[in-house]
Amino acid sequence: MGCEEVREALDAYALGALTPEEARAVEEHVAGCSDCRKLLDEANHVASLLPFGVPLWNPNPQVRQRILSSAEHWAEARQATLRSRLAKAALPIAASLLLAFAIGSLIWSYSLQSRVNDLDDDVGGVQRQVQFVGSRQAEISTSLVSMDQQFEDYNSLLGEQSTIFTTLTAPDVRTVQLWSKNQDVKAKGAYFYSPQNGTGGLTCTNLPSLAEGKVYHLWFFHEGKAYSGGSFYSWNGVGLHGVDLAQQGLHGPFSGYGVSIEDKGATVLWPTSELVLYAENSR
Amino acid sequence: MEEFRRRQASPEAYSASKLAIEAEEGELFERLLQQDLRAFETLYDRYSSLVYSTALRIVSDPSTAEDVMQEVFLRLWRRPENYVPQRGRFVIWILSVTRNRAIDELRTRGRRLKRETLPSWNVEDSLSAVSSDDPAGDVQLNDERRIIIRALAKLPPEQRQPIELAYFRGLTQQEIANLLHQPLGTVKTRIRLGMQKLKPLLKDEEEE
Repeated sequence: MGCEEVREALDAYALGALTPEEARAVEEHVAGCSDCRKLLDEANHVASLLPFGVPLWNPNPQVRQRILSSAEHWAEARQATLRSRLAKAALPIAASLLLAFAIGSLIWSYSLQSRVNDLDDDVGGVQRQVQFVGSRQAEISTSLVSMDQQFEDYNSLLGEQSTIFTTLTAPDVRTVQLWSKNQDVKAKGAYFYSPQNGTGGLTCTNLPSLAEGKVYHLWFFHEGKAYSGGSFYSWNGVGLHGVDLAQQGLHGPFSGYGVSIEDKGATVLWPTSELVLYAENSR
Repeated sequence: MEEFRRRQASPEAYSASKLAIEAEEGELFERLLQQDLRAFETLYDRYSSLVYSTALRIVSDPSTAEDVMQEVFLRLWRRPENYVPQRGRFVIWILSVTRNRAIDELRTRGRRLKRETLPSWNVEDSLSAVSSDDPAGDVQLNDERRIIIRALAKLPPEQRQPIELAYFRGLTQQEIANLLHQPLGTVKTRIRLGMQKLKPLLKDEEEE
């Protein structure tokens, strides 16, 4: 359809007086023709004004009320529907959220409980470790004290052995045999000393075993007095004890020698128990 | 907006009161989009007579015309977004919707009417003013109606009649020719001449 033919049909088109086929042909043409499109707009404008020319009548006033009432009811129903849809939509969401929250809380609670348990375990473990460390510290401290004591003992023993060796190799060494007064006790010993060196030493065998907290004690006797020559231990009944006579102010001469068993660390001025070994100076 | 500016440039044709009414109509429509029942009520009071009269002119039955009007207004209330302000004035749009809906009703309910001519049209009947509760709106509509009616009154009846049968009966040119017992070519020519004559008349009237 050309422009001229279309333009002859534009007014009828605007009035809706064309057959569907004619109308389609016009539409196809104006879609690609701006001049015809402009003319069609003018025709449409004129056609759209035609209702202004109809005789005017008022509708029934009851229709007004009916329409307004329907509009109001529809708005209310729409609001109710929207609320209902919102509620329906919100319910599963809320339920899902609640469920998720519950599950989350459960997991969180379990996790917290687990962490608390872990912490309890940790605290218990730490407490046990602290106790262990404390006990180990006490043990180590005790061991250290013990080791220190043993070191002192060994050091003392080493010193005594040195004293004994010095005494035995001295040219003026003299020896006194010690015996047990008790026939049942087979202990015996030898006390040797060097007036020149001022040292002395005691060797013993078959000494009776010591009870816990007990030590052997060497005594020097003279004119009714007893002089302490120091304490010592035994190993398998064998006892060695060196004495620095000059350092301890034990110058002699002594009329007798003896070995008793005393409490460890106790200060005694006289043997508190029967002498396990005894000797009188024959000189 | 273009139309708004054009009208601002021709204050002799478009009074300040008309511009104010158009601005108010824009506000009414905005409120209608927000489901403001008062705005709907105002628009109904302003245009119900014109809508009803247009439907009545087409279906020729008051009850059917009321049904058409009710449907048009409730459709506006339910789907106000169907009107796009950028495409033209609200009153033109709602009258176009009314015409289309009434023609549909005519085609489904009253095929018999399509075989009848329209009631006779005369200037006096058409110029009869109808009062409403919206005097400001009345002024604008009555002014526009007077322009159209005077233009239509200047058309020869043989040109006005096929135009009305096309627009208010939904008849094709061939159906009009058959109804009026005139050759198709004559109907086409009269329609075209009548429409071409209306264009300058409406323009002249608008510029008065």
